[in-house]
Order: sequence, then C-alpha cells, then structure tokens
Amino acid sequence: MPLVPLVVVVAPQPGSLRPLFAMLRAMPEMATEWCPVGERRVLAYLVRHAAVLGRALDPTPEWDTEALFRPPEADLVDSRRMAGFPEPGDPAMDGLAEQPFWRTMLAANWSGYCERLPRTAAQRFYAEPGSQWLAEAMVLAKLPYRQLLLVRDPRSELAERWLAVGRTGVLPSGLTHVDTPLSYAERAARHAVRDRLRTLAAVRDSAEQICLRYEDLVERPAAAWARLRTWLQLPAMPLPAIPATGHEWPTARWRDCLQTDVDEHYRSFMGKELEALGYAV
Amino acid sequence: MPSEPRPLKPLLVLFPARSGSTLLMQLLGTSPQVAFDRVSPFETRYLAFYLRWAWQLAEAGQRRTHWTADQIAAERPWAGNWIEPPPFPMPDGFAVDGESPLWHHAFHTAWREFSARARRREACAPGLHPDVVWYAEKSRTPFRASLQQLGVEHEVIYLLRDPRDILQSIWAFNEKRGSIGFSVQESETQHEFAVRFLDERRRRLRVLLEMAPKDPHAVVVRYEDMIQDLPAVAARLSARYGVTFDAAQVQAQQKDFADHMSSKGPRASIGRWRREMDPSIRDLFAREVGRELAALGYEV
Repeated sequence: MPLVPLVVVVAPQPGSLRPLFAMLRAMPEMATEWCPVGERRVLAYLVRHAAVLGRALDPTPEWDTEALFRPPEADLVDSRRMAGFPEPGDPAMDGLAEQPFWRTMLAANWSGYCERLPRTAAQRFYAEPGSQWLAEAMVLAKLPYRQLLLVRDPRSELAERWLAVGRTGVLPSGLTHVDTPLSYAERAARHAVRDRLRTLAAVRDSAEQICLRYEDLVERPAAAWARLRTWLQLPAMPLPAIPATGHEWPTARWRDCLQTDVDEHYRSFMGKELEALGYAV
Repeated sequence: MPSEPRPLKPLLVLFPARSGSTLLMQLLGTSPQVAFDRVSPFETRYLAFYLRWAWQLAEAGQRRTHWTADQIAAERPWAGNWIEPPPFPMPDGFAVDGESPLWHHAFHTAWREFSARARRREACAPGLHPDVVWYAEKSRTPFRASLQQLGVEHEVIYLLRDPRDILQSIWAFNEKRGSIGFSVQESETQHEFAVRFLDERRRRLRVLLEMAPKDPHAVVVRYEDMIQDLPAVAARLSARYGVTFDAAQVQAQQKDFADHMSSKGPRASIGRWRREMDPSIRDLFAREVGRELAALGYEV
C-alpha cells in the first residue's frame, strides 16, 4: 500500500519545522525523507514531474520537436530540462473521457516510490513540508492525504529571526542594516501574516486537516503528541523521549526580546487574529 | 481474468535528414496496427518524451542554481514550468539494491498506459484495427541504448540513402524554403559543409556495413528502393512485422507531400549528385567514403 502523504504546511518561519518533524519521526507509523539540510521534497517533486504530462506547451527555442531527438544523456546539461509535450492537442493524454494521464502517473510513481522506500511494516504515513498547493494537488490527483497546518506566534518568529541576525551577522532576505524590529514588523508582509492567521483561526479539525500551534508542540508535547495520534487514527502510545533540536521556543521567550512598541504593533494590527488562535495580546 | 495487453512494441526509424523518413512513415501509417500520430512530418515523439520524462528521476542531485528544493515547494506546478531532475541527493525510494530504479518503473508504467490509451483511441476510430501491435517513431541511435537498459523489446529500421544525394537534397531544400537548416552554417562554403557532413556520415555508413547486418532486430531500407519499387518494400516490411502495408495508398498521397520534395519528382531525386554536385565534392566523397559506398552497392 502506498504511504498516505502528510503535508505539513507552514509559513516560512525558521526552525518551526524541526521540533514538529522530531516528533513525527518518533512515531513508528511515520516515514519521511525530509531533513533540515539538503531538503528532499520528494512528493512535491513527483507532483511537478507528473504535472508536465498534464498540459502541452507551445514550442520554445529550447523545447521543441527537435529537443526530443536529444537523448537523455547525463553529460548534456540542456537535456536535463524539459517541459510539457510540445505538440498541443495530444489525443493520447486527454482526448478520452478517462483519468488524465498525469493523475495516473502521479499515483503510479508515488506507489513505485513507496515500494522502493525502505520502511517498516508499521509505517503508513509519509510526512513532508509543503505549500498549500501540494494539498490541492492531492485533491486533484484523488490521492488520499492528510494536511497539518502549523501556526506560530509571529512575534516569536520575529524575535528568533532578530536574534539569529545578532548571532550570525547574516541578514536574511527582506532585512536591511537600518531595520529595527519595529520597522521590519511594520513592513514585512504584515497583511499576508494577518490574513494567514485569520485563515488558520477559521480552520476546523477534520479527517483531512488539522491546525497545530507550534507553541503547544514545544510547551505541551505530550498533549500535542496525543492529539496528533488521535487525528491520524493511530493507537494511543506514550510520548517517547524526543531529542531537542535547539529550535524549541516557548511562548514567553519573545517577550524578553521584543520591545513594547513592537508588541503594540502586533496588538493593534492583528490582535484579534492572535487572540482567536489563543495567543495572549 | 483477461491478461493485460502487451505494451506497444517500439519500431524506431533511424535516419539521417533528407533520407526518406517521411515517406517511410507514410508507408508505416497505412497499417492500422501501427500507432503514431498521422500528422506530417510524423514527428510527435511520445516514446522519446516518456523516456526523457522518466529519466529525470534517474538524475537526482543534478542541482542547478535556479532549480532548488525551495523552488519546487514554493511554485505551483500547473503553470507549465520547466522541470529538471530532483535537486536533492538520490532519495532512498528512487533506487534500491535488488529492485529496479524508480525511473524504470515510471517509464514502463507510462508506456503501458500510453499503449492502452493508443489502443482505445485506435479502437474508437471507425475502420481502424483494434489490435495495434507497433508504435513507430522517427528516432536517433542513442535512444536504443536507453530502451535496451530498460529491457524494452523493439525493432529498428535503418534508412539508407546515397549520402551524395542527401547532401544535394539538403542544399536544394534549404534553397527552396529560403532558410538554412540541417546544421548548415551561413558562413561556410559548400565544400566546408561537405567535409563536416562526411565526418558524421562515415560513422553512420560503417554502422550500416558492420553492425546492422548482425543485428537480428534491425533492417535496412534503402531510399532508392522505396522510390523505385515501393510495393516490394511494403511487402518485405509487411512480412517482417506481421502487418499489412499498402504502397498504393502512399503513392496516391504523393501530391500531398510535394512540399517536402526538393527535386522535380521522386525518380529525379535518385542520382542527382551526378548532375548537380561540384566535381571537387564528388572527389571528396570518393576519397573519404568511396570504399563504404562501393560496399553498400553505390557507384563511385
């Protein structure tokens, strides 16, 4: 049986995934190839790989009928790139009222991959971080899946980001030398952050989907573990010892790092959304 | 329970440009048991596409700067973006000792699925035979190696034409359409192109002389035979592949393919080098590949 994908959707917040994946790895039923360094996003890749079967592109100078005369040799860099089939109106792929070719092939490749993945008999799920589109692709492909939405207090994320700059001296994308935490908070995608919080606050647990707070994961791991197992319909088992990743940020920690004006910014701009998710404002 | 039908057996047409590949595909297309898109110049290469598509999975870790794991995750795939091999090291499930790699699985599944769909399509079309056996495609030699690696049974037709006529046809066709093609470079003289052309052609002639006769899965078809006696070629190929090819049907379509010709008529395309070729280039051929041409039965 193919593993059921568990798509973990999280906004780009450094370090948030590590404690979650440490917990997921501790589940005997969970397989994953994700690791923080040299990420392997196999499921996302296979979706993209199958998707080129889903539509024909207009020929381009690089990808036309002649390109298909070039053999798939490893030493030809250009031959490694490909897009959809260059002939539009392909009757073999979508001309018949049947399962689209890309969907058939995604299911087949996912199954083939799971067959080849060294795994234990207990493993039933495969966890991978991804964007929202990955879950949408699972729906289109009619593949069973689960989606875990990981939410985190944006103040915590800001504080962690700021401390990392102080520690490493490296400015992440979007930050300049003249920025302060407040100027960054006021500028950086604040509408997107608020909208995301609003969306997550509206999520209700279902068989396919669950919203989990990062802070619950690190502050109340036993409860988070039990909730996850219940949602996945796995038998209850005690939380095993999970090694710390160094990325466990309790709720209170950001309060020591951020000044009042920053806190006030969040309170005024997205206080309602924060409260809806159970964050103190 | 009925057994699953066998996937279509690839029939690769290996050819140099201007050697009659379109005419041969016309002939193959007269059998309803040979699948391929009947759209001139018959270059919708499903087999090559699926090979390249599956091959992507064999190339994990071939990272390019603009194709990263983050990009894979961030961008929706539905916009028809390019794909490249996975930009991460070979994951455990891509290849396991004792089991075929994932790219083999991907290709075989795609080919089975394509075959089934092609059969259904043929079966849906009135007058076509539901028992499609072959899939024909204009191809290139390296694809054979990939098919052999995948364990895909296939047959090959090598097209042979006097290379001196090919050269004349290339120049005439370029002139006719008013653009430069077939790797001719604007800056080079005809003699210079002929030297380059011969380098490549010498290798091919040797394959035809040394390898093709020993290959039980290969047959050589001469352009000159197709022009002079297409029914005989049709009968020979029909016997070999167990289907019926209809030369008369091709001959009836001749006018439809006039744009593809560069001579006054099919018969005028044979031996045109005697009338049109510069003597210095004729000498070059005699010097460089005279032995091979003679061994293949061409006048030198």
